This record gives sequence, structure tokens and C-alpha cells, in this order.
Amino acid sequence: MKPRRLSTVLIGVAVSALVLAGCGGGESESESSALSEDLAVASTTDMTDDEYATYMTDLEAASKKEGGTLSYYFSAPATSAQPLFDELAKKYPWIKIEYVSGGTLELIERVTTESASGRDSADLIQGGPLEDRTLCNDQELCMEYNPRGEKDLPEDRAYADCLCTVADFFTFHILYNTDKLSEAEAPKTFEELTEPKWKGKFGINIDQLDWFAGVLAEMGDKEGTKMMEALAANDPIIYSGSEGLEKLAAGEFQVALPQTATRQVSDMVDGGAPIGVVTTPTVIAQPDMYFALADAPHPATARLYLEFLMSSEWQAQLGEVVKKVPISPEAPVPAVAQGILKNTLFFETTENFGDYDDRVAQHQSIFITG
Amino acid sequence: MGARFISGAGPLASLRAAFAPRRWVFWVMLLVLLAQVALPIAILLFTSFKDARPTDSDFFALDFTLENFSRAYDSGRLLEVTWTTVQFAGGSMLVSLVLGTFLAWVTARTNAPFRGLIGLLTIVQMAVPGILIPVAWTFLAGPEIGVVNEAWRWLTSSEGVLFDIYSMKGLILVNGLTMMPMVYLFTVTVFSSMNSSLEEAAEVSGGSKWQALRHISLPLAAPGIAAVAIMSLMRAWEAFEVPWILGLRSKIFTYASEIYLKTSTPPSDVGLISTYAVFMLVGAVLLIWWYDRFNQRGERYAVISGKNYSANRLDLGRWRRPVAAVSFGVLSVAIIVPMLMLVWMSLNTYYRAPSWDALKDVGLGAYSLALQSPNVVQGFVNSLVIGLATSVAVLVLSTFSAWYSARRIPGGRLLYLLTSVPMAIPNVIVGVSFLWIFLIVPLPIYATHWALVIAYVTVIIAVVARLVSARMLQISAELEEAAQVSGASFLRAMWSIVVPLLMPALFAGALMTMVMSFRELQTTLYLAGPNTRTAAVVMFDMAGDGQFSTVAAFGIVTFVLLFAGVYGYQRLNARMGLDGGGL
Repeated sequence: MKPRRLSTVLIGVAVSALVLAGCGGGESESESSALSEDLAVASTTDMTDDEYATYMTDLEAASKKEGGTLSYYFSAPATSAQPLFDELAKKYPWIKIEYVSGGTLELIERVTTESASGRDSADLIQGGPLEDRTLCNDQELCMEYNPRGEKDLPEDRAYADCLCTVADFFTFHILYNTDKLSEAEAPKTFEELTEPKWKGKFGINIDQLDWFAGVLAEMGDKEGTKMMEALAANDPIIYSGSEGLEKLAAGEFQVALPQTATRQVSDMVDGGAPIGVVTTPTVIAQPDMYFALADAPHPATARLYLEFLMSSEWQAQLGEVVKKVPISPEAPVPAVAQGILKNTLFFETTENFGDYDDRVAQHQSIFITG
Repeated sequence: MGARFISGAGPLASLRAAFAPRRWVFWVMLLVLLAQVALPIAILLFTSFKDARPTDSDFFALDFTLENFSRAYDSGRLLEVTWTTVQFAGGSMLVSLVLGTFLAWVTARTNAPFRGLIGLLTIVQMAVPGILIPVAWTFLAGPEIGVVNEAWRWLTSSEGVLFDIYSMKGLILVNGLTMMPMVYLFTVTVFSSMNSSLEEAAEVSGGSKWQALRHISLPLAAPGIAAVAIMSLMRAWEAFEVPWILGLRSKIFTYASEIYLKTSTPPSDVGLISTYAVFMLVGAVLLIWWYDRFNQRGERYAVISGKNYSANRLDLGRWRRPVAAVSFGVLSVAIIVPMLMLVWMSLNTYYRAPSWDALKDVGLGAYSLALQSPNVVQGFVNSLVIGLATSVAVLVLSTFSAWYSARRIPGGRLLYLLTSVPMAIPNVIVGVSFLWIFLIVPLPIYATHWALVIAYVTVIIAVVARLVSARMLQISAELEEAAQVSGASFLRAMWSIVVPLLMPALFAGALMTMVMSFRELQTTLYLAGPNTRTAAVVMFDMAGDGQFSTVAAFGIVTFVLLFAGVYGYQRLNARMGLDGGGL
């Protein structure tokens, strides 16, 4: 083929790509509708059984009318939420999840900017206290909605002041390499790791600001900061993200903290990785918060999703399917987090977190910048 | 120049001159580049002097502040981080420049054996997702578990460490090696158009081959080498993955990792990010001014002219095999050994040191998981479509801006500057800027492929424009002048004369654009919608969730696909008679 003809062909292909680019993507086109007054309620916890049944039937109809789309923003990987979406699809087959991935920073930036420009795209965002503070408290973007499943939650799990639904939570643990340490040799508390024998032998995950804030809230600012400074002074190997688990399994360090006991850990353990899990006497728990947005383009579907999250049927299988701890105390806890049943749980919340910017600065100055 | 060929005098002639294709093409280029580049830079500069965000009601109020600069300086880390970044960027640049230029010279100018394979291996390294190479090096040269250090301890019966990948030397080495393909692509297009008659003339006059290399080849390649030195310096300056993954443990922080630390609280502290970027912008402008001095005497470097020229290869004689061996030695360190580590990682559910025991448990489960991951196909297709579309846009803009600049047409230097300064804009600023622009402008662009194409053009154009510009300097103006004297229009002369001569640079630019489109993540996370997720976003999900074995498997698949693509391109190159060396 002559060079010029080839160039023409290649340019034709590329220009076709330009045209295709113009045709693709874009905001989803579904029929969004303002909810009727009897559906736009703030809570279903006080409804009778009959009222609730009627409400759910009407809500499902409204969701279908919206097109069943749920625009879902979350900082967790899509793969981790897929089992949840699969179960949702079994119950509500018309619901189609359109998820937008990103880090917490990018997602909050997007939601904030979309709202400011009047082009709200997100129905729901999954996150934690940072999203609560920024989107709900500062920006007032969150929908007030309490699904029925919150009705019988004990007070320490109710999150009454949060414009969010907490359907499950993470717990922070100490992990150790079982090839290098026996169960008896593994440290049992965070304080133990401040001892000289652990100098330079443990890794600290600097992504877990929630754990840091939770420990300071549980121990008190002064004592908590003292312990953190002692940990930092014991020459930990700092790491970021899930590579820490690989390095722990490989033996770069003997102990890693804090790590959440989630599906990733249990998959690695099931795959033969030499990782053991220690549950400390007081376990810091981070709530998994689901925020429906006040100007959600699909408000009925967003509400339906929250009802599903708090339903007894999902709570019962949540631990097994996504390996998180259900908020309902009666629901079964996944095997990897079984230790928490005998220990004390301390929930980190938006209220006890402290000033976010201060915590970030404190955390970084202790563990990173020195 | 074109005006000489428009006959007649008077207002009609002036009007025709005003609407001559060369003029309106210039204005179109200028408008597009102003929108692509000047807008994010204007937002960057404006925001650095504001204590408000673009979506705040008081953002456009004319109350400026130096608080962001004060915060950047008062943290006490600005000078330290700047010095660290100077060392890191300078060292990386030297490593990539020396190795990349050497490999380009071997493949384009010598008769070393296996030079096609050398070129292929150099380029395909770009296909490996950015996060994977530093992770592979963690397991190759980490002090405790690195294969190299374990082997050293076994050989020497000592407890020592041969090479600590978490040191500044380690960071420089790994980052330099990751930038090597870019340097290679730049310099191979320059070397491949060298007129060997100049070197032959030196030999006829009594000079040795090496003297010809030193006094003829390298000086003629100087503009291209200078361009790539600047590009690699700037890219090293804003590199994130290597400093973050390898530098964190030793607390070595460069500009990019420092920005990441300082702005981890959302909403983005764009004021502070912009402030850091202003310093980078100043540095970039200085470097561009310095490089521009080469441009001013561009005709000195024109080696492709109306006279016949040949590009014979240098006969290395008995040095053929040693040079090839050294090349493969470099590639072993740069790509072969890290790829073998990635293959090993992909075959294990979790990382285990290579051993006979571990070999018994290997499997392909990670490949199955990677390929079945949600939206893998969607991610690949989106990246392909966006990459192709971005390539067209970037190559058109690069070609015309390079031409106007090289031919010293009034306004050409402005176009040149506009295609250069994006190298100083952090990708997060590009992402945030276009997020705001697309949401404010009442056009349905947000979350479409177009949004990503537009943003990617800004992210990528600086690199490709330099590549095209370096090649353009080598093309003498007399060639298209001859065409226009013969009656060809400006656009016809560009298409028939300039574009074919630019082809090696254009193909290299397209390749680079495609690869960068597949790898670009930071900007994408702000702009991609549910239907426009790219391969990089899919991989970001995988890395955040699963074991690295899955990510490694994904990286290997991408590598193999690009290997096949570049091999196909090389075969095509050979059939077209464009023996651009290893490209």
C-alpha cells in the first residue's frame, strides 16, 4: 500500500473515532420525575406494616417510571460493590447502576461542582465521615431519609445525626505474617508495637486516617497522640494502599496496621497468603456511609436502594457476600472479623472525628513529614 | 512567504491575502490552542492568587491574596521539596537521555544486529501501566525481599544490600528507565533523518567514525536532544507514581507527592495546587526560552532538503555484537527483568519469592479475573476511541504549530509557546479546570468522550508537539517552496510535501498519544462518566480492590497487545520504505 493511501486510510479511521467520540457517553437520559408528596417522605421508620407495603409498591412504580437508573459515585473499586449490585438486581431487576469511580477527592469535587452548576448527576455516593462533613454538613447536599431498617438499631449503631444510611462497617485490625510469627508471638495491641523489639519490623498504612481519628477519639486526644508518636518513633515502614498486603505476605515486614478485615484480606488468606488477623481488645470501627443526594435525578430509585441496604434479607447475607460487618447486630459477621464479637467496638463518627484539616495535618506530621 | 505568490495589487489582493489558507489556518490553530491551553493556565494563575474556588460566588471578585504562596513557603518544606525534585528530575533526565539516545543511535544509525527487536522492546515499555513498574522494582530490589538483594546475600553470605530501590538512586534509576521510551521516540526520528553523506564527508577527510559521531551526528541532533531533555526534565518534575510508591518509605518527597499530601482534603485545595504549579510554570517558561534559541537558527539543522540525501548506516565492524549486547543489557534492566517479575506476580495469587516450591502453585487465575473484571472491554474500547480522536487533534495542532514556528511566520512563536507550556500544568489542574468549564458552559460535553478528548489534548500536546517540532527543524523550507512555486496551494504543499516527510514523527506522536491516552488517570477521574470509563479507570479499580496479581495480569495483556501493534507497525514501516530505525 502506498504511504499516502495508507495515511488517508489511517486518518479516516481516526476521524471516524472523532465522530464516534461525539456520539458516545454523556449523561444518561432517563425520565426523572419529582416525587409525589407521599413518596418524598423523610423516614419510613414510623410507618405501620400496611403503610410501608403500600409505600414500597408506589416507590417501585416510581423507580420504574424514572427508568430505574441509579447514578452511583463511590471511591471503592467497582469490583468490590459488584456482588451487592448482583443481589440488588435479583430483587429489583429494572435497576441499572451507573457507577462513577474515583478517589474520595475527585468524587467530592465532582458532586460539589455539579451541584454548584445546577447539573446534578449523582444519586448516591458511598463514603465515610469526610463525605458527611463536606457534602452534608458544609454543602448541605444530602437527602434526609431514614429507611425502615434503621428502626430497631441499638443507639450505638443508629447514627441519628447523620444524613446518611449506615448499612455496614469496617473494623481495623493488626495483620501479621504467619510464616514469620506464630499466633502467640503476634502483637495483641497497638501499644505493644511501641516496644523496642518491634523497631523497624512493622508497616503502617498511611491511608487510614479514619483509624487515626478513631484511636484519638477512643483514647482521648492526649493519650492517643502520645501512642501514635511512640509508634512513629519506633521506625515503622510506611506504605500506602493495597500493596501493603502484598508486602506483608512477601515478608517485607512482619506486621501491618491498620488494615480493615474485608474481602481483599479474606481472598488473600483463602488464596494461601500467610496472613493472620489480630483483633485488638477495643476495635475501631468505621461506618460505611451511603448518602442519597437531595437533588438526585432519580430520587425514587435512590430511596429504594437505601431500603434494600437496610432490609433484613440483605443484612443477613451482607457479611458473606461482601465480607463487611452488617450494622444489624443480629446479622452474621464474616469469618475474617469474627474476633470483634468478643471485643469492644468503638465507632468513629463525624462528630468524634475532630476537625478534618487538623487531623490530616496531625497525621501527616507524625507519620510522614516528621 | 505565501504572499509572494499572490499576484496583483490593491484592496482585492489584500483581502485575498487576509483569507489565504495560511492565515485562517493560523487563526483556527490559535483559537483552539487558546481554549485548550490558555484557559487552564489562566484559571491556574488566577486561582493561585485567590482564597476562593471557581464555584464560589466571590471567585471573580478582584480581591487577590498571597496567602497561598505564604502557605506553600511557610510549611518549611518548599525549599527542601524543590531541592529533592531538582535532584530527582535532573538524575532521571540524565539516565533517560543517555540510555534512550544510545538505543536510538544504535537502531537508527548503525548496523548492529537485532536492532528491530531492540527498538520494539524499548517502545513497548510504554504500554505497561505506570503503577506496575515501581511495584515490580519493589520486589526486585527492595532491601528485605528484593530478588536482587536476596541473590546478593546468598552469593556473598552477608546480610548486606546491593541496591536499595527506596533510595534517591533507586528513584532516579526507575524513573529514568520509565522515561527512556519517550526519549527514544524523540531521538530516533531525529537520527533516522540524518544525512549520512555529512558523516561520510568527515571520514573522507580523515576523521574516524567516532569523530564523525561526536562532531557531526550529535551536533546535528542537538535540537532534538535538547527538546527531549527539556521534556523529560519537566515530566520527571511532575512524575507521581515512582516518587509515591518508592519514595514514601524513605520519606523522599518530590513536587508531585508533596502536592498530593498537601491537598488530600477535599474539596481540592486548588489555590495551593495552583501555587505549586506556578513555580513549575516559571521553570517551564525558562526552559522553553532556552530551547527557543535553537529554533532561531533552525535552518542550520535542516538535513532534509531538495538535494539528494542518503541515510546509510554506520558500519560498526567488530563492534556490532558488543554494541548489541550492551543494548540488550540496558533493555534487560529497563524492561525484560521487570516484565519477568510482573509475569511472575501475575501467576501467583499473592507475591511469593521465586522458588521451585512457588513454581508448583502458579496458575492463570489472575488473567481470568482481570479479563472478567467489570467493564474491561468497555474500558479498552473507550480508550481506543478517545486515543484515536486525540491523536488526530494533537497531530494536526502539532504539525501546524511546528510549521509556523520553524518557518518563523509571525505568531508562530506564540503557537509554539502555547503547545509547550502545558507540560507545566499538573494533570489535576487540567482535570479540575475542565470539570468547571464543562459544567459551566451550557453544552452537553460533560462526561462524554469529547470531554476526555479535549482534556487529553491539553495533557498530551506538549510532548507530541516537541517531537514533531524537532523533526520539522530538519526539513528545509525549500521543499514546500518548490511545490508552491509550481502552483500548489499552502494546504496542498503541506499535505503532499511536509506531512510525508514528517511521517516518522507523526507515527511516533500517534503512538505516544495512544499510549498516554490508555494510561492517563488523574484527569480522567474528574471527567469520565459511567459510559466513558477508560482502561486506566478500570485498572485503578482493580488496583484498589484486588491483589496486584490481577493488575499485573492486566498489564501483561496490555503489553502483549501493544507489542503486537508496534511489531505490525514496524513491518508496515519496512514495506513503506520508511526505515526509521527501530520505530
